[in-house]
Amino acid sequence: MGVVFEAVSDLDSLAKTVLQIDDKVGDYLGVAVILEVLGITDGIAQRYGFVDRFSLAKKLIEIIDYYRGRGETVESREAKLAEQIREALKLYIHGILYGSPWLLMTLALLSTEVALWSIRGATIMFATMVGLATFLSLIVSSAVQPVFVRKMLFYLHQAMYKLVVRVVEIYFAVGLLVVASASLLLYYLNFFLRLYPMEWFSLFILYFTALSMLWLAIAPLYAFRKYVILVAIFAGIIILNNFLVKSLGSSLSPFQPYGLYFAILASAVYTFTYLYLKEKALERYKPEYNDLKVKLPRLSFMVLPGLPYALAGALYFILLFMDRLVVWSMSPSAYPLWFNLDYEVGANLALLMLIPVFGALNHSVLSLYREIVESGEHVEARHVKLYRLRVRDRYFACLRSITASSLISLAVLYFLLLQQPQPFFGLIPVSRQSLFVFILAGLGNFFIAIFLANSMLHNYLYKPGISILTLAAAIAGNLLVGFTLSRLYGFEYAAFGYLAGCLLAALLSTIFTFKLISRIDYTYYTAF
Amino acid sequence: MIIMMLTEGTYPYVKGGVSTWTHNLISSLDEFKFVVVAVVANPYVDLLYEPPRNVVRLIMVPLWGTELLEEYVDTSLLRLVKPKPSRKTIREEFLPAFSTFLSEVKSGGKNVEKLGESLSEMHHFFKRYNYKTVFKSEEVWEAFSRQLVEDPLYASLKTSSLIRFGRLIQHLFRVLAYDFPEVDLCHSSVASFCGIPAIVLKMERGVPYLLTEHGVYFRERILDLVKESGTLAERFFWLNLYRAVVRLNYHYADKILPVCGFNVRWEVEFGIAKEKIEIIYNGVDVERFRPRPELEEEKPLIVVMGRVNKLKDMVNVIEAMEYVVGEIPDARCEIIGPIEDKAYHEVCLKRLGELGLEGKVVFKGPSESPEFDYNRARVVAQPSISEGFPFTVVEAMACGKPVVATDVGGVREALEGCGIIVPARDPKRLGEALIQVLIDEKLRRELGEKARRRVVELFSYQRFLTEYRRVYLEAVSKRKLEA
Repeated sequence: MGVVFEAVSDLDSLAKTVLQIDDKVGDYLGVAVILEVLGITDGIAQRYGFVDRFSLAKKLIEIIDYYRGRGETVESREAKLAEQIREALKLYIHGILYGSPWLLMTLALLSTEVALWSIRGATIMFATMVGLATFLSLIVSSAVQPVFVRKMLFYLHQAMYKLVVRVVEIYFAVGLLVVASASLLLYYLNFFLRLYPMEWFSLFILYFTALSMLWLAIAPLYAFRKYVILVAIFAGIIILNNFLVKSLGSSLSPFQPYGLYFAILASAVYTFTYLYLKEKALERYKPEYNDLKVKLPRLSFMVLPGLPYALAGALYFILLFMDRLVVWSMSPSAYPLWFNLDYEVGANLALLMLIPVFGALNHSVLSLYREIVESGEHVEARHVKLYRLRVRDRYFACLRSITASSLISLAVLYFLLLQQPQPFFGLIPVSRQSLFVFILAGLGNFFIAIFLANSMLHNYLYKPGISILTLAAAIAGNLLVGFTLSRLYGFEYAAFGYLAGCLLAALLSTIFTFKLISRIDYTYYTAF
Repeated sequence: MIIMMLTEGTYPYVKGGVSTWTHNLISSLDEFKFVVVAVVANPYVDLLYEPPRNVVRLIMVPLWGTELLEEYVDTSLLRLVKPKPSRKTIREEFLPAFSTFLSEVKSGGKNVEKLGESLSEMHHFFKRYNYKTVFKSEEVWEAFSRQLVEDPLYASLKTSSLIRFGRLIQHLFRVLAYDFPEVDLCHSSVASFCGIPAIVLKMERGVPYLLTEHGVYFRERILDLVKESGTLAERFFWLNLYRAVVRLNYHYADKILPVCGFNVRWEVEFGIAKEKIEIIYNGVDVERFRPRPELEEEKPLIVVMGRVNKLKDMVNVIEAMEYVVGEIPDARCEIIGPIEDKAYHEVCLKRLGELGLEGKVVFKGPSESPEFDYNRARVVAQPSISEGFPFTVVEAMACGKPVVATDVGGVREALEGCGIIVPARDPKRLGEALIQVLIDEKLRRELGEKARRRVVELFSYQRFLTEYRRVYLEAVSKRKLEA
């Protein structure tokens, strides 16, 4: 402390010294304490021309306020506000980009009749195979992704790009192995059980393999928040697919997977290029990094912590598809599951409402993360209730934002659907049942958005168990309500199952989240 | 006889003086077997020293950078999975020890025996139960936050600091979660967290504990804290945590073995009886580092051996060279060592340019054969602002070279009349001393001869090994006699 004091030659530097020790010192009494710690006695204060330490502290707090306030002019506050707006817009756009591959595919289907894996006018058998492939590929890939993607983010956060690259390599290898094994298993399952004709089932296998690999390939792009490149890849493959299908024969659907393979390749190439560049950039700053031969932990140690997230991922897609499976199981054909166009049109169109909601979701959830961190830096631990209240208020703001954006989005979409503007919606055969499904699924999607916000928070706080419990209950609700009502009143009533499941997911996850938030200090302590 | 060698942030993953010391000691005392427990900040490190054959096991303890505590332990996952205790078990069997531990940490380890007992009890608990889930329990958080918030000293802690400290405690004391093998002796190279296994083993099994202090851990942490921003409450927490850990190590060590007398003052200040302290100087290989007059360059050359960073104050020697070149125009200076701080290296180069000393002062990078580099010099300079007991000074002395060095750390003790000591941060005095030695051949010869004699007598590698062999055997035989 003596050294610090010796360095003090005038009041300004003394004020700066006090600020160095505690830049958030509140009043002159706080300054007086610091002066004591610095070894400044009343005698020394008198040498500065003050009666005692406290009158010196009063003068110093004025200087401290000046230094703290310097730069905080009206202009800079305006600049700060502008910065906040820019940041909010950025987050909002990121959220929209997150969901825009789905938007692009729907728009492509509506405008050109050819999306990535759907073609307007395809036979029901074709649609059934592709639909089943989509569902099962999402389940399989979502069970693999979180295990490795979490690890990628873990090492990315620590700038250990070499390890991220290795995890990506292992991820693609394991992913390929899992997809190949699942394909073989499904192929032979159908071979022995004869659920579908083998020639059609080969088409299922083709789509299942391609789509699974596509989901696996784009997962790192999502994880690294490379939304622009993601959208560019999707736009590219949609154009390619259109070209292939239309120039080589519209009925030749097997051409479509070429587009998917292209997307897989593009995503993988991008991921590796991105990591390679990061690694190279790091080498420049850390010469020793180049020689580092770091080992990853064994696979079992990598997989174990990710398993709950994998389970949650798989359950999420089961919840999303459960009502459709219930409807498909009311098969008028000889096959166990059969595509239902009216239901699918309603359910798929309802998904579009989520795209603007993703913007609000991304912005509000990230603001909530920020609140958890920043409020903690301002509120003293003894006033922890204030900290909890602030986080709780931000959480409520998050829910309000999602609710408002969901309802507006759903209303606008409903209006558009009723208006049937050309050239988009006019092409879709929106039946009475489709509209019924659309409304119920749309409301369900509002609840799904609430669930997603909660689930994102649970993942951020390393609490995947909550999502598992919630989703298990929601799936049961979806199945029970959907199955009962669809069998009693008609297939479209399965959408009530979806609505009930999503409502349950939203309700339970909100209750759990509320519990977490009400002890956010403890919850945050246990995260990571 | 098996010795557990405990290191922190050094051997075998980081290059440096302490690592070299550890490696030399282990590989030369090959009649003993060693288990090396290396506490590291994260697991992203390579083996930079190939452990010699008498290292029977290497246990890496990363404090951060792993999701599961045991990720880098060489055993199967299933064997490592420990059950989660019930809340009642935590309350009844863990919290009493944890609360004692906390109140002692908060007060800087005033009652060091209570602190030691609480650590031993916690270790015993973690032998049966999962470390991470215990620390993440609500009971532990409640106990932790209550203890700090209700203490007026820490009442002003921010919530984020409280959370951060809670996590820090969990990470810094990770060694408690490990099961350690049967050993006859523990030897720690620093009075820090890595010494905790030695303390626990001493309490549980009566294993003797030796502690070597290269730098003074507590002093170094204070220096670190000066650079950190943070509130007073945060600083108090850090200081008391370090103080508690250092006290604990000092208290439970059977012998404290500083590498120079400079450290002793700090150890005594911590209330350690002088009888418990025995200085064992670092040793250099006096055969490898011996005078080779035929190598000395014709033109006057000053050699500075050391890593390029702020603490080594290379700007000091650059500025001193302005005076030297003014008097002896053909004098040159070579700075030999890795560039550790690039920004500081830039500062040095800028200063070189300002003084027009390009070509007169040269950064040569690291050397594989420092014994030849010392011998090429007419005089060796050491311009640091902080040192422990510097190997470089002793090596230069062993080569029979006169040394001009700043009066920091254990430098005076090493030189003791065999070189010229100047105040730190005083380029003029450093320059004058260098000129004096460069122009006075008789003085050079006298200082060089005396330096060589002093090293052979006090700082030889053989003597260093003999001393350690002796203290190892003494500690183990004393235990056997007591048993």
